[in-house]
Amino acid sequence: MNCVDFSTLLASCIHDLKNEMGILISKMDEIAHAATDHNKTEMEQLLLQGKNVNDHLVQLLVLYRINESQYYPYFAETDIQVFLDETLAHFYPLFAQKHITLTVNCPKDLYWHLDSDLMRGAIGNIMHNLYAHARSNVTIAARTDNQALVIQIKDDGPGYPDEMLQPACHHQKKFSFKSSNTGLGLYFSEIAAQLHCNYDKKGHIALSNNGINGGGCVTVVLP
Amino acid sequence: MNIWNLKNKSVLVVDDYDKMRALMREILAPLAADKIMMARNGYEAIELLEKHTIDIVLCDYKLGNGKDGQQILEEARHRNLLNYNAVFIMITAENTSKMVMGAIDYLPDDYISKPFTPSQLQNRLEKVLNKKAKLDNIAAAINQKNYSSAIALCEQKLHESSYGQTEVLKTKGELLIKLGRLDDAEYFYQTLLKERNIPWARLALGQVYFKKSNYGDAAIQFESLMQECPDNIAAQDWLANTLEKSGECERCQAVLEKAIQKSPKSSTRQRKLAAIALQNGAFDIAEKAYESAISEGRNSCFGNMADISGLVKSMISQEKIEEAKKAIEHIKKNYKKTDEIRLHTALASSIIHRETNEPEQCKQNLDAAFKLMEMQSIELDSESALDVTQTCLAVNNLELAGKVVKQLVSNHFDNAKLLDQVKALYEKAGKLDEGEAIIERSKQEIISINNEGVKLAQEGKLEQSINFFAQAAKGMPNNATINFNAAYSMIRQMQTTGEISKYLPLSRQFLEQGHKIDPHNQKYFQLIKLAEELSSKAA
Repeated sequence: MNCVDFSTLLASCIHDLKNEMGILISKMDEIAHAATDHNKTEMEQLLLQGKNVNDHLVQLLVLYRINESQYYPYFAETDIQVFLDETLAHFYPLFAQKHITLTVNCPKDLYWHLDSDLMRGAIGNIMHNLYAHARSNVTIAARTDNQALVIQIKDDGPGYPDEMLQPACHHQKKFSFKSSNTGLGLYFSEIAAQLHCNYDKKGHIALSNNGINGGGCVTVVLP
Repeated sequence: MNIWNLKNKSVLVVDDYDKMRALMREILAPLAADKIMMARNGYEAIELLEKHTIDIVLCDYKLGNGKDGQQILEEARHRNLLNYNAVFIMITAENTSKMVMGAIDYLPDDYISKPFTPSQLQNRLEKVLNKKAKLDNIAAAINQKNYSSAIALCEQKLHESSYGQTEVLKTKGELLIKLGRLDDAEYFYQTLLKERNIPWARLALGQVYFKKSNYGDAAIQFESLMQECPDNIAAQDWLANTLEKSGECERCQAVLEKAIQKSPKSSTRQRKLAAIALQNGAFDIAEKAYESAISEGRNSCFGNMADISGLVKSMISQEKIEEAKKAIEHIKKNYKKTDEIRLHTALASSIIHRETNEPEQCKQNLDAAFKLMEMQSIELDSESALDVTQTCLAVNNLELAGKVVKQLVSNHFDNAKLLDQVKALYEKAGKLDEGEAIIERSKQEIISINNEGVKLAQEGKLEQSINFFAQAAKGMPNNATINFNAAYSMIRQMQTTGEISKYLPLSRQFLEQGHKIDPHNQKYFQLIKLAEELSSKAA
């Protein structure tokens, strides 16, 4: 098979999958609306999972386009409080099921220039990661510091293993098909942050164990 | 259930599919809009926009045969059928790229792609309306054309907080440019760009440089935007304008060709490419672009049937005489027989017969064209006027040539380059003396008309001067000076009597008309300031 290169083939495949997923999700949405109280929660769970898959497919496409130099971020001045509310909205019910409390700490009138599609995906990935690790508390805080927007997401889980705490640029080499999570999510988040630049300054993501009681802490810095 | 609503707002839904219109009505119903209107196509939409003040337009991009959504948006904004803070949301099929729609200067406030859920549409609407709400009193001032006070309101808002004010910043910059305060605008955008590399601010800064005839710095801005994002079509259009001004015609053509590859649906862009390619001798490219300009312009307010002559010229240059004749026949057969079509097909035919040395047929077409022009008092654009002059001279009809030249000179008596082109045509026909004489005579005539009106004003006979210029402007609607002088006499009259209701809107009309003809004329900016002072004094 040497008619097209494999990544183009994959990309168009992902594109179709994404569209089919879209149809699936809207059908599930209809069913969830009509569901009885009894299985409503289950349906909503399914729906969330479906959306999660869809998000990942979208992110894969974005990564493909970045790789092909076809993706150009679109920055718009964004109300960060509104942005976080929208991004986190569907995580509240998800986390509530595990009895994890989400606390958002964002000053009113905090605005920043960002590509909200990219960053919604980036923050979403981080939240999905936390879902597996956090015990009972997650805090999300946003502020400006040294002419950059800093979003810090802390949990009270066991913290990241040492190999994860290496400089972020190595994440991409650590894909592993052995665990349930290949690290793609975090890789996307890192790339999304890096695409945020202002003149010669570039965004980045840092991991540490400065979370709640030694839990994980993800710091997103956007210039 | 909804915290926000559409109370006191009127909504227009444009969709050719009845089920979709019904669905939209259902989605909008709980939002309690004041009025929801429905249009099935572009013509109904424009008619409703003409008759009503509409706050929100939800418009499907694809509307069957007539105008598409982008063409409705362009006409609505271009003809000022929408208020400054009105919202236009384009509804697109999932795989329609924004570029395909061909927008240059007119972008919708948001796009939403089908299929969407009711809450998605409601969320989008809420967001856009919130954004526009930041402009509330500023937009009101702009709608009343009180631009200086609108700037003051912008500054007040920015003083309160400079964050989350993108809309206000954009508006302030636009207004500075509108009032001709180019130095202020340059400083304003430069200050913004010092802190952050904002694409819209860089595009606007480039436009300011362009307006200041600083083409070098303008090109630097547009090129840097294209480097950051090759898909930035607006930057490409402006770079093309800049290159044209600095005489880099080959590069200008290349930039436009690239832009058209990505975004072919704008008749204005196609026309620009066609004209520059014709000038560069790239006749095949010109031909294709004129063809597209004609077909894309068919339902657009930017359509211009003079393109038919351009198409024919580019075909003749490739010795495709028969094809050129066929192209005209095709248009005659497939387009609605308006006077504009009749006129321009006749002119194009006259060009063909001029080039094939068939004077009789050439004359017939010229006569038909002149009859239409006189009956409908149609004025030719300068490119067409030059063509007609050449054709008249070719069939040795000095009288008709003189008529066209007189009109051309009366509109452009201070455009030396154009007058030289006219002279060259006469010279080529071996009639230089006649050419110089008619140009001089027409020039003197217009100058003396102008002086007479100015003299009346100076003598304090303002009403007489107003009548005189208004009458003259009727005969010469495309003469910038006459339009500006009509406005000036009205402004003087208002200053003297203190009574503004009679002349303020009318004087603004003359000002805008003059500005449209000659955007670089500084008189506009001086006079619009005086008009503003009068209106704010009265308020």
